[in-house]
Amino acid sequence: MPKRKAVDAPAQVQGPAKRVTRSTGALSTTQPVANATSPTKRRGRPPGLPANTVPKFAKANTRNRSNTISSSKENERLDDEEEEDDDELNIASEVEKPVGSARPSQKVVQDSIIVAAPRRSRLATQQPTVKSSKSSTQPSHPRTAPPETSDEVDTPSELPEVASPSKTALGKRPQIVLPKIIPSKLADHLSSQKQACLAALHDPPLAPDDEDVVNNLALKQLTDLMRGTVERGEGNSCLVLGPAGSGKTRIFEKAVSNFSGKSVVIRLSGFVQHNDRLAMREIARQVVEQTGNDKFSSLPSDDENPFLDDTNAGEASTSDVDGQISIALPPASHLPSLIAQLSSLSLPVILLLDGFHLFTGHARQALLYCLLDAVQSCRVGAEGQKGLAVVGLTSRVDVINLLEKRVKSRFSHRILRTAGMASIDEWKCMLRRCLITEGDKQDDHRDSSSQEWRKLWDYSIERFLDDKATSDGFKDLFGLTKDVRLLLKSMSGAIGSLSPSSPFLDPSRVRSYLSSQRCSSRADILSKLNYPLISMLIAAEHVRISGHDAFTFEQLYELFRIQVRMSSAAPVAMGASALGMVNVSRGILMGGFEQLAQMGLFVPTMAPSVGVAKQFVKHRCNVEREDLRIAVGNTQQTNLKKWLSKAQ
Amino acid sequence: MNDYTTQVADDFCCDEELVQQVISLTTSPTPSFAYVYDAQTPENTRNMLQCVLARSTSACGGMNIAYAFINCVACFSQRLLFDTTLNTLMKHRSTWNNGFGLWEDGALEAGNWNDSLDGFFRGLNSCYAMLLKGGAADDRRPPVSTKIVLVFERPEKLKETLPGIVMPLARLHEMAKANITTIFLGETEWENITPHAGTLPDPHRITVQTLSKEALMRMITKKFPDTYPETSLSPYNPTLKTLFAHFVETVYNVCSPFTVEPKELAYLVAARWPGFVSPLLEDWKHQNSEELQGPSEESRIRLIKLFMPSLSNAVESLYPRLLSAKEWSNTNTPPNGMRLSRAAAKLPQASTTSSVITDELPELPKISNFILLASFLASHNPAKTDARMFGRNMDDKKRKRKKGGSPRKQGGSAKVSQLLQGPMTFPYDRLIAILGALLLEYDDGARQSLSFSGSILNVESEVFRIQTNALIQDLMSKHLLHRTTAPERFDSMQFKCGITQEQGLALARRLGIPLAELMWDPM
Amino acid sequence: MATKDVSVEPFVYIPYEGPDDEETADASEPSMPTPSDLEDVDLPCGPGVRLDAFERVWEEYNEKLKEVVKEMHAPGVAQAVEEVLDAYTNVSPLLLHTELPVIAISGPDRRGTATICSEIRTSLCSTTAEGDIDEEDAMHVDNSNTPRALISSVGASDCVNLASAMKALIAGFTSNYPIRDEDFAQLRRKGTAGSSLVTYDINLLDAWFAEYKEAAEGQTPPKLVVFINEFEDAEPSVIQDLFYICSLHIPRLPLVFVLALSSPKQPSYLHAVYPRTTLALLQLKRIASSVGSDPLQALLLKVFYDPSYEPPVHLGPATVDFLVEQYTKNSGSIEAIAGLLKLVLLQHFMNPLTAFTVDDFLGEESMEDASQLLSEDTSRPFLRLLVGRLYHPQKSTLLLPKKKRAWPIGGPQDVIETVRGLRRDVLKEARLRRLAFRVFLLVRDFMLRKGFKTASDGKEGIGFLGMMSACLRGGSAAAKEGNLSYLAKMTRKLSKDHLKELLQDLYQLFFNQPRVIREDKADAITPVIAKWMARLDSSGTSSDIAEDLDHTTIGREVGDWLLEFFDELFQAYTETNLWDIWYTGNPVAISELTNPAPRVNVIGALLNPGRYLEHTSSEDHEKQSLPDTSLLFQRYLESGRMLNVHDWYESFAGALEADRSARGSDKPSKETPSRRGRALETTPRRRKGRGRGASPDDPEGSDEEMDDDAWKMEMHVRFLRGVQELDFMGFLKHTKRKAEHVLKTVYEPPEY
Repeated sequence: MPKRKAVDAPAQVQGPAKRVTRSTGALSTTQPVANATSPTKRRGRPPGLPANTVPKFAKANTRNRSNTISSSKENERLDDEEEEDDDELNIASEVEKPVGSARPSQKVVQDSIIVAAPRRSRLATQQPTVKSSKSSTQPSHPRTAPPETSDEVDTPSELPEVASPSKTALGKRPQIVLPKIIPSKLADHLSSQKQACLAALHDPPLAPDDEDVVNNLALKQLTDLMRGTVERGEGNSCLVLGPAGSGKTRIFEKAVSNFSGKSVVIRLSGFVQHNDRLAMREIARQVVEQTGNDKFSSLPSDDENPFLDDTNAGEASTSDVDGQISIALPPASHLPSLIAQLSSLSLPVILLLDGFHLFTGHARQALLYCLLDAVQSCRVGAEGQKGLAVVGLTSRVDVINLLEKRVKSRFSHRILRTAGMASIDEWKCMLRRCLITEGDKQDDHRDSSSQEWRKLWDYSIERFLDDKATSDGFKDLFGLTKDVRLLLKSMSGAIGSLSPSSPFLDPSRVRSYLSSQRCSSRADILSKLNYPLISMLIAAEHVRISGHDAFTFEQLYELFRIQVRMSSAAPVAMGASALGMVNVSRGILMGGFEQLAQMGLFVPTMAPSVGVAKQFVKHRCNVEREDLRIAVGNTQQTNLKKWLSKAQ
Repeated sequence: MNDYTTQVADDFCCDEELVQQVISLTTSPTPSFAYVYDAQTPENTRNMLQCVLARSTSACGGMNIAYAFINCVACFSQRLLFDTTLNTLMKHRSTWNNGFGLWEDGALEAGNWNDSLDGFFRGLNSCYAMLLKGGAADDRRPPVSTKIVLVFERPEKLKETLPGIVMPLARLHEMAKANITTIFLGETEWENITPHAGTLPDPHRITVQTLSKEALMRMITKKFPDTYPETSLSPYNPTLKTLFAHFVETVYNVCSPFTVEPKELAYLVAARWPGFVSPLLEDWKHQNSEELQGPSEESRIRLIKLFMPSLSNAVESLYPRLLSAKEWSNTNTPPNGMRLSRAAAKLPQASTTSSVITDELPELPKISNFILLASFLASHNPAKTDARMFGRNMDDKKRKRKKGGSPRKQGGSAKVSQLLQGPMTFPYDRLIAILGALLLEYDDGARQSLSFSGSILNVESEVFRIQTNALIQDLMSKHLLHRTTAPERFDSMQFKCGITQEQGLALARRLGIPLAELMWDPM
Repeated sequence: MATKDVSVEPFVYIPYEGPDDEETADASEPSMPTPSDLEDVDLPCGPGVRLDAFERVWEEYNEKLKEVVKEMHAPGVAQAVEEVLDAYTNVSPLLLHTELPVIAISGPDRRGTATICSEIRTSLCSTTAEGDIDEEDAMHVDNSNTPRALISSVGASDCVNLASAMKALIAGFTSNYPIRDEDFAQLRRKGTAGSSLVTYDINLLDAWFAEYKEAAEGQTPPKLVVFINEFEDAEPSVIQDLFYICSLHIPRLPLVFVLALSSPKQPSYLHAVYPRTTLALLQLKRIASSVGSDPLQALLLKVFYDPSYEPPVHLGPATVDFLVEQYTKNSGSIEAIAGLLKLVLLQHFMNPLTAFTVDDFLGEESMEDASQLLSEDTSRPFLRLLVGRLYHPQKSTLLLPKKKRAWPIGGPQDVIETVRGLRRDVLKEARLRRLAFRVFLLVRDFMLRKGFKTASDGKEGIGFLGMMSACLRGGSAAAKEGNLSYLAKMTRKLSKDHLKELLQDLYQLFFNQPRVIREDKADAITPVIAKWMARLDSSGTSSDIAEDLDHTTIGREVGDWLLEFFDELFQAYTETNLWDIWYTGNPVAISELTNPAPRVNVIGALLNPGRYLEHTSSEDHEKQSLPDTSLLFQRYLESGRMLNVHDWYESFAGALEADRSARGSDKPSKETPSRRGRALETTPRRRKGRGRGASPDDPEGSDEEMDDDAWKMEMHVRFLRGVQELDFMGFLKHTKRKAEHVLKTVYEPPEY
């Protein structure tokens, strides 16, 4: 079991880490991975360690845990065995999603029931112990938690309450173990913890190297490729291809970091260098920065162009308005010689082309052509010639087809693929890595409050990760996108919102964050709209029903007027008083119409021109009927409901 | 920290949740790119942000944060955007004395920073470097807590003006290699801004909830000035504060179905308040006792009942800005000398209708009127029906017009009346032809000439007179008639009428022409 | 706009004065003489004298018109200036945002708006303001070195894109107002282009203004006024952003916008085009100059119906009607009316007798010289005409009595004396008429005020415009138009205090007249009115019935008096001889000048060229053939909506052949078509025509019989030339699709 080895090894050397594992051991199904993170987080790679001790230790760990709990209840043991082989399962098949995602979930249900029961009862007894542990200066024992679970197991009175697990899980649990409002002395721990977690979330640690995930493979290949360039002076070109957020850039950076100082790294981005001349100047700049090479600093530029220099260059000449700057740029003709100079530098050059597909859009793909040509033409061992590697990053799978023939022929079709996380469990591992981190390193661990905080925090994280609501939330998100960045973002939002009044992650809150990070649904935007806007939308719906998809304001206004007339003829009975639809003056409705257009709910189908009065500009409504129905339902206006219901 | 949050939340009438988020957003290193969506009160949120950022140095664990607010409408060119960002970021004021120079740190001169994105990144980078130095200089602050926050308002504008720049801004953190958080503060959803989905990293979304009624009213009542002395007979006398609160509530209750924008409500309040209290002030003038006290319960109710009707009127004319608040309150002041103690049961109906924009056409030369009407007919009748409509030979009975009945009745893709679709374009010749027909038919000047042929001759010459063209030009300059073809084209000019249906009817009435008979679509 | 100006400047065009012009001239009005029959009765020095007279008169009128227009604009201008000056001063503290003050000026038309704006500009620039805004002056007089407002004007042409608009706006301030005499541009040049603010960056204006305030230490900072000219032509999206950007910097920058609209106030262009969000930024103040018929009323009233002002030349009723008609029918602009007026005067002074209009001495120093001049026999016809008119008033025609008559006693001198006497009478009569008109107005307005239905209400302005001309035509017409009897009836019915009020007004009116009029008439009347008033007051004492009777009797008296007063003073202007020296005549020809119908005339000319060719009278009609062009045109009319050019040529050739064979081959008449063609030409092709006309002479001269191909050639040429001309006159539309076909633009025209 190579995994455990890598994983548990550091646990021995690192005091705190061990404590973490123990204290969390009782509850974490994916404990090994959890441990794995902390070392990798702290230092790049864990040092090789004597492997033989590890499995025993781990066994012992799980063993004694199972004993303690087996004494409590059979169904818990049952559940515990499930944990056992669930571990096995995790270890054996890394990326078997169906099993990996389905099994644990239902398991989590069960254990959250059972485990919840004793936990609650600890309300009475746990408090003093926590207090004592706070007051006592010597480190609180890691083992405190399990015995406590064991000794007040059977209190049957709880069972009825816990009928709905999730509820108790959310509502009650914080009051028990985790204080609802943490004492002030922990407050700054919280804040520092927040900072640390946010930082971790911001650039999450990579998966440990020996997990043979796709990315690690890509990383390896890329590193080799660069090594070839740097050490043997090869000319290499390759493309890193992968979906957004699958860590292309990170892999590149990691690979490059091996050769820092041994090479010149030039980073270009298709999003920034919109044309070749900009790119050339950027190349020159970066080269000058990294090697004070004055050949590049003095780029010939068409300064003496009479149209460009003098003070009102870059002024209201319309060329300036569309962001096109009229400063001196190197002439495109200079491109080949510039690239040629690259390979004659004192150091090998690694050139990154982010947004590779955008470079294909440049004029005649000149830059790409020159680069790839230079790559091809640089032969190993030629004196005074160092290697050149061109690495393109893109998420477009068809990028090869975008290349012109002459360019394509010069490109070594070496394509490295990256992939995002494949399963929710990986997400969880990632999260655990990010969240269970030491906050501020500088304050010593002897400090009791920090230890106590750490205990509380890690515990809360584990609870959180195991909670069913959480994993459901993750599932929803995962179903939407595999892009882990979204998860991290929403998590960081949740972390950011922690405050002394609510110091710990709460699945429901997090879930709300998850949904908030997703593209907000139309319905709840619509239901915020006020009467005129809604009625405009309904009118638009009526127009759509009548078979036109474009409409003018006049049409909607006409419909509205008619509807008002009719409803005043046959008003809706509201309680005692019957009242028809409120009439709204044309001016106000026009304002509402424009507001809708501004919000992008109405889209003009033709460009506004002087000839066309604004009430006659044709618009299209991009609101789905369903959303509208919900929104109208939310607004307690029977009239509107009736009106909408007429549009069938 | 917490009470600080509540305080800010209280100052800006927004919920603590939001403030909490914003604070953590601005203070923590992540996320590097956030999108704050606020459809209702962007200004307010902006001020809140600014306040948070300004105080963050003191409040949030002594970070030093440099921040800049960039309005994307004001910065309509790349150069402008860069200049403004760097200047405001470094609090650099370009003045007369420094020759309106931009911010520059000694090494590089600013010229290199506003020419391209790379330059801009470099600029930001050196800003960051300077900040780090500054941060390191004073007390033991770890440089980690140095950070730059850039807030872009109205980012939706970037999509039109500088589409190429949205992406780099969104990824400033990586691209400028500095601890930067980019915040877009937008009034539309993020989806409307992304050039094309996928290229952009999804932002960290913060959606500002719409204000509750209480918050709204708090926001407005806070504006009531405290500067006026107790004894002043002004509508802003502090003793009226409670009355004002009630008043605002009334305004909200009346106007909330139409608009809940705080700006608009405040506008209405500002327009109505002086008139609203004037009867009370009158009482004050006449009362002999010194101290002025607010109205009693029942008199307050009377007052409110008195002014209730005028409020809806106010919305009608003020929300579309048919009148400015000043004009409106001038026209709707209660008659002076009107006192609350002996107020009439209802307010004399102010003559807003006269001053409110009516669609009534100005007084025009007679021929202009005819031309306008002709243009109206020409752009609302199908061209092929002209012969039937204006044909001399068949009298009015024979004109077979499409019978009435709203086109919407029969299902399917019903034909929409031209009146609702807006005017069609028509050629010059058609205008002249219809004009001739109208003159021949309805202009007594032409009719009174001796013979029929003679009248035709008159009309013919009338229609082709120089003045007719002059008048057409005149109408175009008055925007009652539009030319859809380029002005330099003289042959085959196309026109489109610029008057509404109501105006057309009024015009026809003025000329004594039965417009309904001449319209193909039933009106 | 080219065509726009037509309504203002006279249009150079020679109308066709044919037999059919007769019925247009109003029978009741003696029509003005045409130039042709005038030159033989003119004085040798006549034209010069009359031209001087014209210039003097026009000068005077022009001044008058100008000031009338100016005071018509005055209120609007004052309002605008005030708005500008107290912008940003008293804003309600309750607003959540400061509004950008915008003043939209909508004049009668583009030109009118422009003049108003320039007036605003001038009155803003004057640091010591005129008396209307006194409070600011007090403040500004002492430190009058800072203007009250700095002005930058942006043209619509600048507003093609935002950058250029902003640049124009900012440069308007920075480059026009040097600070401490330092050159702004030089200052900016200190840095390189990249390193200083862009010229379209509003922060630049910000910094500049800060410096400006600095320089003008402590004085109230001026407003920054931005004029946007031809606002409608500016690109709305640009303006939208412009407003937004500016609204971000107020009130630190006290910006005020003044928009010059050519569109009317109602319906509002701004509200029609700009979205609510933009309007919500602005504090809009819309100022409109008066439109409709009242400007014309005011003008006529001020210039020609003001008892205190004596116009050298009076408008005849026809002219008044003409002006009113042109104004209400064709162009509602004062400039146009002024142009017409000028033409009317020109026409007026074509009459030789008008040499007397302004001075009796015909431009000579003294009576002697004048009589000397008259007694020269070069000026005999003139004298005859004069005498004829003097002593045969009843037939107001220009034809002099054929039979020789004895000279009136005293000779020319005496004549001049009489003319002088006449002038006195005419002027007095006119004066009194104006007075009476004022009285009429007064009574009428009084009745309207008191809510009586007056005659000719409804379209009110026109009503009394009609009266203006009617009161010239004499009592009966006036009575009909403004129906005075009705007025009188009303007066009789007046209640006591109403009557009193009326009498007081009348008394004031008469009492305040200039001396001349008072001598003429008013002084005679005031005592009468006074007596009535006295009686009214005294009547209060007696018993009710008596009093009632009394005041009704007074009312009756007043009514009767009014009637006879009007009847006496509303003299027909033709009563006096030589009326046409001081009254303008029938201007119908002018309308043809200002508002011609070229198309109709051209078609008419093509259909029957006979009317237009001078020498047609010599030859008999059936014998000669039509000129080529009209020949072609007839064929043209006969065809369908598309013309096949070849067929057209065939028929044309056929006609020529027929013509030729009919006339045989006699040379002189053979020339005629070409000559006629030449005569017909109204196009710049004339030279070419000449060349063509010249060419056939030689061959015809050389050999007797015309060989066919030459003749064919000629026909070709003539055909082409004819078609060219028609094309040039816009009768042909070329179809892109079919080369050999042309489209017609004229279908069967009514018979001319």
